[in-house]
Amino acid sequence: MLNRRQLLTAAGLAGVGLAAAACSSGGGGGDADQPAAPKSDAVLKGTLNIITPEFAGTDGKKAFEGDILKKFTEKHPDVKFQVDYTPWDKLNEKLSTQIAGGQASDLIMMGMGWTAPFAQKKVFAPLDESVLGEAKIPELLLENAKWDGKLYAVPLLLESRPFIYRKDLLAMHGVDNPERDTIDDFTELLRELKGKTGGVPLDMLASSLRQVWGQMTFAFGGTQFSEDGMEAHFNKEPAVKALQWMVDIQKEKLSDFNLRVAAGQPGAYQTGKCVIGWQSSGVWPSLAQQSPELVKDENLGMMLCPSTEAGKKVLYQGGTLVGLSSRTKNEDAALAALQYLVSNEALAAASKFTGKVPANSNIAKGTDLGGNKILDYSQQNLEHSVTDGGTAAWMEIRGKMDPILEGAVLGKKGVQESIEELQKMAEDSIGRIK
Amino acid sequence: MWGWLLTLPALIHTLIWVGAPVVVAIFMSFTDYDVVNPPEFNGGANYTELMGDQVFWRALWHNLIMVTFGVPISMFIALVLAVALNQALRGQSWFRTMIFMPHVTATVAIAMIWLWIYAPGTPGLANRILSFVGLGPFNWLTSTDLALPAVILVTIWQGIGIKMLIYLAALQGVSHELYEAAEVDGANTIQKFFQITVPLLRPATFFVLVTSIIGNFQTFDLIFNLTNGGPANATTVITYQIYVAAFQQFRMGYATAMSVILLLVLLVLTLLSRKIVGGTDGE
Amino acid sequence: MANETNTPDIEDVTRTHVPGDPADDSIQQVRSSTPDHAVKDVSQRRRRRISRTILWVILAAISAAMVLPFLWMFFTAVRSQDELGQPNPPFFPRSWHFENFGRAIDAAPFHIYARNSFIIGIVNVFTTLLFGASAGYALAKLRFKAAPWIFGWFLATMMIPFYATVIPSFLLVRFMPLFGGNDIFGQGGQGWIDSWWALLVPGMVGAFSIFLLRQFYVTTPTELIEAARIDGLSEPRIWLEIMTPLVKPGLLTVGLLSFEGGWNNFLWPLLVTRDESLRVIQVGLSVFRQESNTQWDLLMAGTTLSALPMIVLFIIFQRYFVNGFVNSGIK
Repeated sequence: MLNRRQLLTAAGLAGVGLAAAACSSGGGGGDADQPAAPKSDAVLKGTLNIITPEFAGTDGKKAFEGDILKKFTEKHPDVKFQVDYTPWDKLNEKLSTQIAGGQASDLIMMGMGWTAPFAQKKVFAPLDESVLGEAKIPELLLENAKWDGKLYAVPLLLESRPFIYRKDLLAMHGVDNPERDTIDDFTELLRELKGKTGGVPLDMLASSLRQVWGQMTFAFGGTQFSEDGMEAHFNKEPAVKALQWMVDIQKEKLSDFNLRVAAGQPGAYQTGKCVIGWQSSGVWPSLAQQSPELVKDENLGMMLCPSTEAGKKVLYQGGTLVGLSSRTKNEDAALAALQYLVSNEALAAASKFTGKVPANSNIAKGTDLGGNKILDYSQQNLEHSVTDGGTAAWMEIRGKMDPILEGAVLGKKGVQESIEELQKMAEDSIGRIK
Repeated sequence: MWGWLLTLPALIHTLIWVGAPVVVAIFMSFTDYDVVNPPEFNGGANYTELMGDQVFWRALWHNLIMVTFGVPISMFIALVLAVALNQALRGQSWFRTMIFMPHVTATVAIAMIWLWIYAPGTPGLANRILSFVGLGPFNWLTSTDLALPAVILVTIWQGIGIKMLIYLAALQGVSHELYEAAEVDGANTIQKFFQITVPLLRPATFFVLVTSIIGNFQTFDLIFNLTNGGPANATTVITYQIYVAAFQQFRMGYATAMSVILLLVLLVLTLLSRKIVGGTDGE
Repeated sequence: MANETNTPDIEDVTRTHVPGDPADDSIQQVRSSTPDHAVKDVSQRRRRRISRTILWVILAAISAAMVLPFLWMFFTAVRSQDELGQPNPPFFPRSWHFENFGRAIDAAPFHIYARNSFIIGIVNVFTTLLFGASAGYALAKLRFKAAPWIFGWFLATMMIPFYATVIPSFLLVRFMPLFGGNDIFGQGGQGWIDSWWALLVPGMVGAFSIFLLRQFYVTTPTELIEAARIDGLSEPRIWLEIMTPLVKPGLLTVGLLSFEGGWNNFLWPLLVTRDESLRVIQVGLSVFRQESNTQWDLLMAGTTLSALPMIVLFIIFQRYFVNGFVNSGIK
């Protein structure tokens, strides 16, 4: 008898939970298909929820709420902000539970990969391109923020990865400038350096191989996905060549996966083991504080990654975007705030605090962005931006790429076999989205 | 009647906070649920796909290796330490505290510390220590052969403290007279250990064994922060695969199907533990 | 690291007395109450002394291995920026930057976070002890028909990973009827989100504690219960006054572990709160870990500080674990 009661209790509660899930979730506010355009004349009020992985901590809160948002509320005193600071590595869980509970924040900041999947699931509302205002955002990044032809999020801050090099050490080996026209010439230079120094010249494969492969696929003249994101190009020639290149430089020890360190630990470039590094603008603070010698102008050189085509360069970007929840109850205020966040003024302040590159090439040269030289260099070269992704299945594909690529680079599987595995995995994932 | 009354608060609590979610999770495992749209029944499709998912079976295999090597080693060390530290000894409280220390810190922090120990080259503490005896340097976390043993070593290190504590607590209930009687009979230390201590600690051993196996199968934070399941899936475990499926790929149905398999595996292992230890009660 | 120059003098416990050390006092009492054994000859004594020295050295070595990573953590916390970036930093920092602890504390509102973690820990302790001990006792000693099944159920609740049930658990909190503006069907408001309820209620008792306490009650003599029943004591009094004092080590252990669990909790508090005033220590520590950079000195300083209360708690706690602690309760 009690067993039955037990069962009934559980079943009853479970039912309530599921019913609730069914009622609450599902995207689609009323006019979800109509791109939201900001209205300039509306009187804005109400509380806006923002979820952000940036600006954590006392200083971050001060920069974001006390400075950036404050300038907005000075213009719109009836708008209040409730900011939910969620660490990067827990953003997945936080967003998923919020959405499942039907409580998505009005404005959602997230990484590159989220846009297409969330647009496809109608978590985000489409945006009218007028929200961009005067901001000039690199074409490819904007392309990645679109789904089905509509804009669903706006890139705000970027982590750029140019090559940085040790001028002093290279000069010792008779190389004044390691910039080369093509990827083949660059590889040749690495071999030359390897011969002269005996050490591993390039610190690149210690990064996420998924990102390396993404950039190199562009460098070898390809793209990762078809325009509509429904077809993977992993088995096309550029992607295969890119992976082959990665496997080769590992084999020749021109770069070494085994030099991998955790974020913030002194890597092979910082400790002088490698003379060229593929470094995120985000490493600047530790580089500048821990090894001030390395960031002096006479020692620090920067360049973009060459491609197969002379003159065409690529610069990998990861970044933070902001999207508008399709369920927001205060669309006007949320849109106005979003538009403000993309503005030169807000972006420059955000960039200065976070050390990330503003995704806006319209910011005047010479604007103080905090003295991060890697950031400044990347800011001036935004037109070369490339990034990976571009399909609604990206979140799924992304997570499965690194293990396969690692297997290839470590020689556990051949290039062709790995390519086939990658392509099949991508096709399966894309096949699951409808 | 009192049995029911005393159990009821805990029972109701677990029925609501674990029971209901578990029932929902089992239900979800037969659906396509992407967190955003309502779950859609898809029969046993998740389970069928799981059967052919090589990474999942590899993850399960890694879990089994971790349990097979990690649990007995740390249990044995913990038991010996508990017995040794149950007698008055100079520095006793310091020894106890130092051995327990890995358990007072959140696993995320543990992983962060070990990232330095396993750092490549000589900045890594492990390589530095081994270089004194002329070994290494090893690629602890980037070699597909070494990464899993490196993770297991951390789980052993981390798990000894709490196991020792539980054994220590259990030893407080063991009466002196038994040992004294054995001493009169001329038993030596080792005989006393195996003939008195081990049998008397059987309930504690059952507890430690079962919770260690379950805990070991739930290792997530360590993997997430130390290796991300890599390199080339060499350290991926079931909970990591569940996390990836649920929160990176929005395949909640598939993730819960994995959890149901995990539940079944653990049920089998628990029954097996009961066989090995010989009953839950030590009677 | 053990201080090796100061080789400790290991003596037979029967002759050692450390003033104020409860361990030694109680052992003296226990020993003195037992009849003296036959006089041992000198060589036996020496052998015993040597084996104790060996034991001590082994324990010191293991303890050093256990604590070494924490030393590294502490040294990382006080290192200079310059040393953090070196390929071969010295084991001992050359300069000690204790100001890193202050900087770490200032980086986030840790006074609020620590208070919250403390409250969660304390509430965990009391609810877990109360419900855990009652269920553990009932399952161990009151052998009612359903007991094995309930016990099996408790075990099973530990086997489903958090990530499989987190969405349903979250929905339960979010749609809690009649709370946070919700109607009777759980709609309309935000339920327990951003409230202490969500932080405290789901963690009130766990199968781990019930299981552990059950195993402790199992070892207690059932004859005591029968004797008490004959004396006419009520069942709750038998549980609380006769049997529970016998499992004090178990209660202490469960209490300590529950507090620690509450103190170190991270993901659940993060998911069910938005407001900073309800966040916990571990969330605060994540401030030092950005996507592509980690402020190691501050992270390690913060981690050291957050571990310190737990270490102190354990030092106090473990002093109660001395031989005879329970036996004296029975007599």
